[in-house]
This record gives sequence, structure tokens and C-alpha cells, in this order.
Amino acid sequence: MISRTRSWRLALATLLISLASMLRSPHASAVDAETAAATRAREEGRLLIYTVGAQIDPLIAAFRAKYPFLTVQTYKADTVEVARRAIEEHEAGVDEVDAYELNDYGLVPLLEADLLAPLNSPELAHYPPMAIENGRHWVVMREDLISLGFNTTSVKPDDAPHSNAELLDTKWKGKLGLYGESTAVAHWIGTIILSEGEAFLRKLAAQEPVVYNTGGRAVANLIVSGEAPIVINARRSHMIASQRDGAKVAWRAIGPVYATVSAIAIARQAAHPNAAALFADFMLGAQAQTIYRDDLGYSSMRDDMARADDPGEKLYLGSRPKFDQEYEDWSRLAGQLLKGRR
Amino acid sequence: MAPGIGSGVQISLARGWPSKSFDSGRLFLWATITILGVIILPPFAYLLSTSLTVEQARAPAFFGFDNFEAAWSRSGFDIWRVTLIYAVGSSLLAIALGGLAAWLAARTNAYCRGFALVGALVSMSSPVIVKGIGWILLLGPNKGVVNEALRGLLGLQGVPIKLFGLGGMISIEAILWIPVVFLLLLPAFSAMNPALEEAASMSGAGRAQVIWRITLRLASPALIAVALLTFIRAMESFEVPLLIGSPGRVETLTTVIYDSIHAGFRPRYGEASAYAISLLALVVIPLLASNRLARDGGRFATIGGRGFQGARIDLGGWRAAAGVYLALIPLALVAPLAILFWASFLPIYEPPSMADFGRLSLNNYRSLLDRPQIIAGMRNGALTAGLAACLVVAIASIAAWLASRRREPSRRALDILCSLPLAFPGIVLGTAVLIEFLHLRFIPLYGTIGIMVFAFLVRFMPYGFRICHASLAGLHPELEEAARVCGASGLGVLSRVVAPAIMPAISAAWIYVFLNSIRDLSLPVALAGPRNPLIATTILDLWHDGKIPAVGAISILLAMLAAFLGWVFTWLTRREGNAI
Repeated sequence: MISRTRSWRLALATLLISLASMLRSPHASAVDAETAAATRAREEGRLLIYTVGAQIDPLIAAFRAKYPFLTVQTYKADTVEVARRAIEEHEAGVDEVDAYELNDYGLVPLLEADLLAPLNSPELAHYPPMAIENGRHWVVMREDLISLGFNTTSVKPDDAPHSNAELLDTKWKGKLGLYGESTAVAHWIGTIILSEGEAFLRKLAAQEPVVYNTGGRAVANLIVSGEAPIVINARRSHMIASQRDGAKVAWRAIGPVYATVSAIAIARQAAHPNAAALFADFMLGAQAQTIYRDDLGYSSMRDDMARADDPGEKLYLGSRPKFDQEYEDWSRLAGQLLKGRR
Repeated sequence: MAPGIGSGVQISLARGWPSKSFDSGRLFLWATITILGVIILPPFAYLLSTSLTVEQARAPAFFGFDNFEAAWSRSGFDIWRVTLIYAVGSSLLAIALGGLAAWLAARTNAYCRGFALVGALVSMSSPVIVKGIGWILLLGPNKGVVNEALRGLLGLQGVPIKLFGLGGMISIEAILWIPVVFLLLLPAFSAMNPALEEAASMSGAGRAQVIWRITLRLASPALIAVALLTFIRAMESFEVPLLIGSPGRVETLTTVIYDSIHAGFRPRYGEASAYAISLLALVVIPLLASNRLARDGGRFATIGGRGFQGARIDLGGWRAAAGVYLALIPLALVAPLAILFWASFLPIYEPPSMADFGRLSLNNYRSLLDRPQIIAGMRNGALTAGLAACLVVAIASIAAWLASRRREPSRRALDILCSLPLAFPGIVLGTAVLIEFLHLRFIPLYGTIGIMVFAFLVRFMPYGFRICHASLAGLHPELEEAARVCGASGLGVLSRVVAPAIMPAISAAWIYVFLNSIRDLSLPVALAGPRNPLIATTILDLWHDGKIPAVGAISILLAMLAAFLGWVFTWLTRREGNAI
């Protein structure tokens, strides 16, 4: 027979164990899961990431520092090129890639080719449903905003336009720069049409913006040098990174801005699936998102990392139901209004 | 008929040449055709099939001519007109300026001859897109260094030099091609026997008449070859139209096609391939005509059985003026590198000013050493480019020799095979080679630098072939006959007579392929990977991250490498008695 005192002790111990187990979850179980994944990843030893590569080096460095037992390799190219290469490789029986860091539209053909595995990261809880693909095949983790960038030596901040309407001032005729890569122009046209209407767009085109077809970052460098003193579709991240290096430039939202988004995904036939999962967890986690937000000038999609200076109205053009058709229309309009095509 | 000028001698490798029982030369010809076919035809087949494959979103692809229709209708007459003006204008300007520089360096006693060569090579060391930005920073209307200086020093108003527009495009494209023209024409002028010019002078011809009726006629195979190369490359060029044309609202065919490739969510290579095939059809007639010129026996041969002393023309009072020209041309060529040189010492690019002297440092050069990718990229880049250059030169020189000396109709296959890659857009060739080696896994090249060597071999074969072919037109077959009569074997003739005689051309071809393989971006983007990084992809990474100063630092290192190669080239040509 159990004594009364001993019964009390047993009951107390049971209660404490229950409380402890309640206190451990979910965080402790997440740590356990991460530790287990890390152990398995250590056995795999390697990780190959296909990426658009813009500003990813600090993230890779932080990941390497956290998991020094992994040899991380990257292949960098533009989103469309990466997607095409992954599909060609898979069709030829070569499945070497483990994870992707791409614009979401580059992941669509990969999903159609059944090359992506669903993500099971504990970090998903921090992301809004709109950031997670329906089948969890990718998660949009950061966004960049597009609006006015200018050289503060060439254009005083007070003189620079504060709204889209001010762009129509005759003093800007022939002086506004436009990043002219076809996707960027189509997105910008879409943003102006959705926010101000097509009539406004035609007036703006009559201001004869100078089209720089040199790559987004190269256009940012022209702003830094003063050669392109004001650009109406500059990336905020480029301006913030340039400011950090000492450049006299600024970025300003002068109307609804459109957001370009980047997502993380892992390959269905990854040679190193645990290392890939570890990388996805890391990229979605607070450490990587802090680097994106505080060091590189992006906005995080995490619900606990909003930027104080984010503009009120953002447009996610790729999420529009008839985006494919609209994109074709905007591209055609860009050719007619800015390049004099038929 | 005894072998002689225009007799069409048959070259055989067998010692008993001409052999009646077994012609090993014919075997050699067919072996070369086979090797070239294996190298070049698979990418061409991909190009052809891509041009005829019409891809549709969410529907199976089908065969048809829709890509051709789209490529032609998208462009319209006006864009064809602008493209032709741009291509003809830039190639003529490049040939005029580069040809004059080559003639002055090779045939006269002008000052600064070596400087011109080194300047030409240095200017070829960095990617066109980097140099294009360099030109914008120099000549841009708002903060371009030159326009700022002209406004500040001379009090000029507005934009003294207008870069953005058709005129700027033609000028910049020509400037980009001057070093190539210079390098390709230098061997032709160097190998020219001055006896014919002297004879013309003795007969009373004036200097201009001698140049027009003797010098240019003798150099015509090389001139035509270079004119074709520059014209085709200008028709295909997209960096200058993108960088310089777009801000001035000038479009060419390539910018329209480039947009069509990149406009959608999937790259549409069909239209680009259709355009490439159209271009090939457009240039095939002048290409074959130029080969016919070079095949016409010894009409253009100036190196014959009798030795000659490469006497230089004394320019007299014009010597200094010619020297200024030879100094200014390379200075203009390396001007965009100068702006990168300035940037390479700064934390972030700012236009040159006295105020920034205190911020100059070597940090960008030190930071290169902290990036293991850069060291690996440099090593792989040099190895890849060196191997590609050796293979191109070896195969192209043999193919050119056979094409110019054999008489069988099948020799034309060499011309055609070596000319096909001229029309390959870089990105399409990259994809073709990628797919080829993904499906030929028993050849373990995928993911190695071997695949890059192969791609560069295909891409630069036409240049190696044209350079050697033009040079062989100046070499009289009687030299080879004399060697045979003295008992030399076919290989002996090739290695001990032909190769030394066209060594300047071989060296020029090697350096051309090497430098272009180092700086080419379109192929590495498609083919390089984590296991085979190249310096070009590293430059592109830094470029995308906005690190102009770091790009400047790498460009300066590459320029130093090019200068070293220039010195080696000069030393080699001097050793062979063709010093400039």
C-alpha cells in the first residue's frame, strides 16, 4: 500500500512533468526537430541552391556560420534562366539542386513540372496565408518595393515629386529615368494603370522618360553617379544599400507601389533534402529576415517583422486573377508608348 | 600542268605525294570535316529545330514557321532599316579606323606602334556590358565626365556630345570593334611583301595610287573577311543597342528579339533562333563570295619562294602625326577602363573629383582575395580560355589550310561548318550545348569546365578560321611545293613551313579567342555552375550586387593580363621576323 505522503509526492511529480512537457512545446519540440534535421543534414554534408542571387551572399554567409558542417554551393542566374535549366536537367535525369530562392513566377513552371516538394517548416506559422502557395510548395519570404529613386545632390528632396501627379510637371519633361527591362516596364505600366488610369499613363509617356535598359542594379548605379538623377521605377533595396555605402540617394513612394517578391522552395528530388529543409527554415526564420530587412532594405513577409516605413498601399500584380493577360497588354502598351512600336 | 600560281595543287600528307594509289590528304580532309561536323552540327540542329518549334502556354508545341513570321512582323521595315544603317555604319567606321591603325603599325615607321597593339588588347579584356556602362559614365548627358569637362572648361551649354542615339550607337560599336579589326588586319599587313608596292612606285604611281591599287588589293581577302565579321557581329550585337540605343529610343532587331526572349515567364528562344537562321541566310552569299576570292590561287599571295625584307614606309614629316593617331586610338579604346580604374579605388562610384582623393584605397583589391570564388573563377577562366584558344587555333588553322589548298568540292563543307556558328546567339548556343551534354552523359563534360571549353570552341571557330584563311591567301603554294620537293612530309610542310609563315595570324587568333573567352558572359551564364565558376560569372554577380568598384578592380587585373599577352604577342612576332 502506498503511503499518503508518497501518493502526494507521485501526484506532484506527475503534475510537474505534465507542466514541463506543456512548457516545452511547441518551442522545445521545434528545437528538437531542428536538432534532428541538423544531425541528418550533417550526414548529407552538402547543399546546392539555385538562386537569382540578388544580395543573397550575406544570407549564405550567415547560414554557413550557423551550420559550418555544410558545404554550400550556389548557381546564380535570372529567374527564367534558372527555371529553364532546372527543367532541362530534370528531363535529362540530372537532379542535383536541393533548394531554390527565386521570384514566384519562376517557380510556377517548376511546380507544373512537379519539381517542388511541400514545405514543412515550423516558421510557416509566422507567415500570412497569402505568402504561402496553396500546396505549400513555396513561401514568399521577402519583397522589394518599386517607386521613385533620386540623387539628392542633383535633385533636392523638396523638389523631387511627392506624388504621381507631380511627375506631369513640365519641368520633368525628358528628365525622368525609367528602368527599361521588359518585365520591369510592364509591371510599372500595370501599376500606373491600376492606380491612375490609362489616360494618366499616356500623359506620363508624353513626358518622354529616358529608358535605361541596363539591369536594375546598373540603373541604381546611374542614380548614384548622378547620370540618371531621377528614376520613377527604382527599387527601394538598391537605394538603401547605396545609402549604406555612402551614396547621396533617396527613395520615396509617390503612389501605390508594386512589390516584387522572392520565395523559398525545396526540390522534390533533392539529393540533400535535410540540408534543404534546414536552409528553408533558416531563410524563413527571424535571423535571415532581419538581415533582409535591416541590412539589405527589403520588407519581410513575416508577421512579426513589419517595416515602420512601409508605404500604405502595395500592389501584388502577380496575384491578380487575370495577370497573364494583363501582363501581355501592359507589355504591348510599353512597346507602343515608350519604344514607338506598332 | 606544272604546279605553280593558280595551278590548284593537291596537298597530300603521304611522302610520295601526289600519290596515285592512296591519297592520305583526302582522308585528312574527311577526318577534319567529320570532327567539325561532330562539334558544330548538334548545336546547329538545336538552333534549327528551335526556330521551327512553336511553343504555346499550356498546350503542346508544334512545328511550323510561326517564329519566323513573328520575328519578321515584330520588327517591321523601319527597324530593319535602322539595324542595317547601324551595322553597315559601325563596321565601315571600325574598318576605316582600325585598318588605318593596323597599316600604320605594320607597314610604316610611325611612332607608338607597340602602344597601339597593347592598347587594343587591353581594351578587349572586359565584358562589353561593363565597358558600355563605362561609356555612359564618360559620355552621359547629365554627369558624363567628358560632357561635364566640356561644359566646365569651355563653357558649352546643353549636351556637347550626344551619346544616346543612332550616332552614339554607331560610334561606340565601332570603337568596340576597332581592336578586333586592328588585330585581324595586322598579320595581313605584316606579311605583305613590299616589293610589289616598290615596283608600283618605281613605275611612277603616287602614294595614294599604290595604297589603293596595290596595298588594299593585296589585303582584300583579309579586309573582306574582317568586314563580314564586323557586319555580322554588329547585326547581332545587343549590348550597345540596349545600353546606348534605348535611352535615345532607337531600337534594332536584336533589342526587339531580346525583349521577346525575356518578356514572358518562359524564355522564348524560337524567335531568336528564327532571327539567327534568317541572318545566316542573309550572310551566306557574301561569306561564300569571300571564300571564293581567297581560293583564287595566288592572286593575293605575297609570301612566295623568294625571301623578302619587310621594309617600312618612311612617313617623313607625317611620322609624328601618325604616332599621335596610334596613341589616340588605344586611349579612346581604354577610356571606359580608365573610369573603372578610378572606381576601383573608391568605396562607391563617384565621378572623378579632387575631393575624392582622400577616399582612395586598395580595399577593393584586398577584398578580391577574400572571395574564394574569384580565385577559382580566375583559375578556371584562364584554363578554359587557354584550352579553347589552343583548340580553336589548332582545328581552324588545319581546316583553313585544307579549305584553301584542296580542290575537291567537299572542301566547301569546311567553309560552311566553320561559318555556321557566326549566327548563333550566345544564349541559344549556351542552351543548345547544355542540352547536348545533359543527354550525352557518357561524355562526362556536364558541370565541368570542359563544357565551357566546348562551347567556346564552337563560338569562336569562325573567327579562328577566317583569320587563318585570310592569312593563307597571302601565302603562295610554291613554298609548300618547294618543301615537298626537298622531301618534307605533309605534316612537315604544315608544321615547318605553313605554321611559321602564318604565325602572326595564329597568334592573333589565339589572343582573340582567349580574351573573348575570358570576357564572354552569355555562355557562362547558361553553362557555368557551382563546380565550374568562371571569372565572367563572378563579374556578373558583383555587377548585379552593384559593386562597380569591385568590378573595376577585376577589370584592371584582366587588363594587366591582356597587356602581358600583348607583350608576348609582340615578342613572338618579333622572333618570327614580323615585328611591328
